[in-house]
Amino acid sequence: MRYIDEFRDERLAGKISEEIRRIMPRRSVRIMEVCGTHTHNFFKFGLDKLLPGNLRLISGPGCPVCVSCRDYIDTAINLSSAPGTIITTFGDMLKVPGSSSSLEEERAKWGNIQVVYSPLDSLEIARRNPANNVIFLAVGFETTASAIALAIFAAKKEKMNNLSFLTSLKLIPPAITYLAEDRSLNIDGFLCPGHVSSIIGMRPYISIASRYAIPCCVAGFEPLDILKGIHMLIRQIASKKASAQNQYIRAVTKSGNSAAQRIMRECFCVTDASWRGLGVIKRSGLKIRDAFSHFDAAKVCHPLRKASRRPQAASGCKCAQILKGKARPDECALFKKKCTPENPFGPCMVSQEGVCNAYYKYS
Amino acid sequence: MIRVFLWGKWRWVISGRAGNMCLAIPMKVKEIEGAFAQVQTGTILRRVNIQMLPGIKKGDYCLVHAGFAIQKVDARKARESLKILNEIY
Repeated sequence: MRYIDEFRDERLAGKISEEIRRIMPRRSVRIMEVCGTHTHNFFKFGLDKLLPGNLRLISGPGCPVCVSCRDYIDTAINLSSAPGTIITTFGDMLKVPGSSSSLEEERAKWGNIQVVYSPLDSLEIARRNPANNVIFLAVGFETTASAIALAIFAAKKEKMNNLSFLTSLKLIPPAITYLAEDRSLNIDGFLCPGHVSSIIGMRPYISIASRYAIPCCVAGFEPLDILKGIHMLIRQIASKKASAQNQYIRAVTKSGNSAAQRIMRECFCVTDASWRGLGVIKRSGLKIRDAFSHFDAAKVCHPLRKASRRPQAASGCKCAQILKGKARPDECALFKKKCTPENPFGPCMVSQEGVCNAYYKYS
Repeated sequence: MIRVFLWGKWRWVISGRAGNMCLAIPMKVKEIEGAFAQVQTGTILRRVNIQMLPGIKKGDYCLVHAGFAIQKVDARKARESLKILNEIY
């Protein structure tokens, strides 16, 4: 078993789809898929064509690039212009528009922004460039936060003094709680992210499902995982029950990865965080603990210039509403016109996990 | 055809050119070297950090994300999932 092909069986997908149609309530049902990778795979595998017309899947804020606020991009851009600085980043961040520029535009000007696959690649770049100040843009959810924590531990062990981390790390359960509290969204169920949950486990969803009486189901990312996750949610919705269920049992346990959680706790503490589109959510982010403050770029690096703010009022970009599930990408006037993956206007079009990007590619 | 397309895409993801930040790929542990392991999927070999998975062994499958093994893939539970899927109807 390779845990891939087995979960892409077309015949089984058809059976699950038929079963969903059989148990589907007559009324309109709204399920939010919180994770951007669910959105992407949902369209990529054509699952939208297998589901009943009265089931509406709405995309949530589960794309770390999309929810990184403009100030964060502006700070990264400012830091990149300092002489001797090398910015290392995941590829998705390059095109995110800041107030007056993007990291891609800055890379064309200064040539000092490097795309990495892993936070550990930043350590290697710092070792090879001892005279340069290397700053890693540490963006992500719980899945990535533990990896970044281990990179910080490794940098501390090596006593590196030319590497720091500009963090914008966010936590998924507080964002789901925030959305569950907003009754105007009328969400009937949450399809919860599989890989975040492989770290945090099922516990956070158990309390969300019982407190807000909204069904939650953690699902994997292969087509059968996603369909079965939706099936489990519809079954709960049809029987008017709300609990936290786990479809992705091969990777998600009740308590999650306790080693990864301990690593995260040791390196970071919980703080309030600003989400693009949602605003500030209490205790929804992570910041580097004081014991590691000499690796915190926000403390050790000082931006050279203030960003000249691009006026936002005339933008017409609906990313904020889209991230809350209040609008669909095709309801935005800029979609496919001014805003395309080659020339993105808002962050949801930039990222591979962004909902506008997925709609553009597959719809 | 689908598989060829996806393997192509994965090669792209693993090489670091794509940026799906929460994407993790099941890979088989070929060799353990201290805090690191050689892992494989298809023809792709990669060295990943295994500090988050203290009990991982050669031959196990793990989910790999951004150069780190983040969780073991449980073979028994995977078979159980497939059984449940096959039992629909």
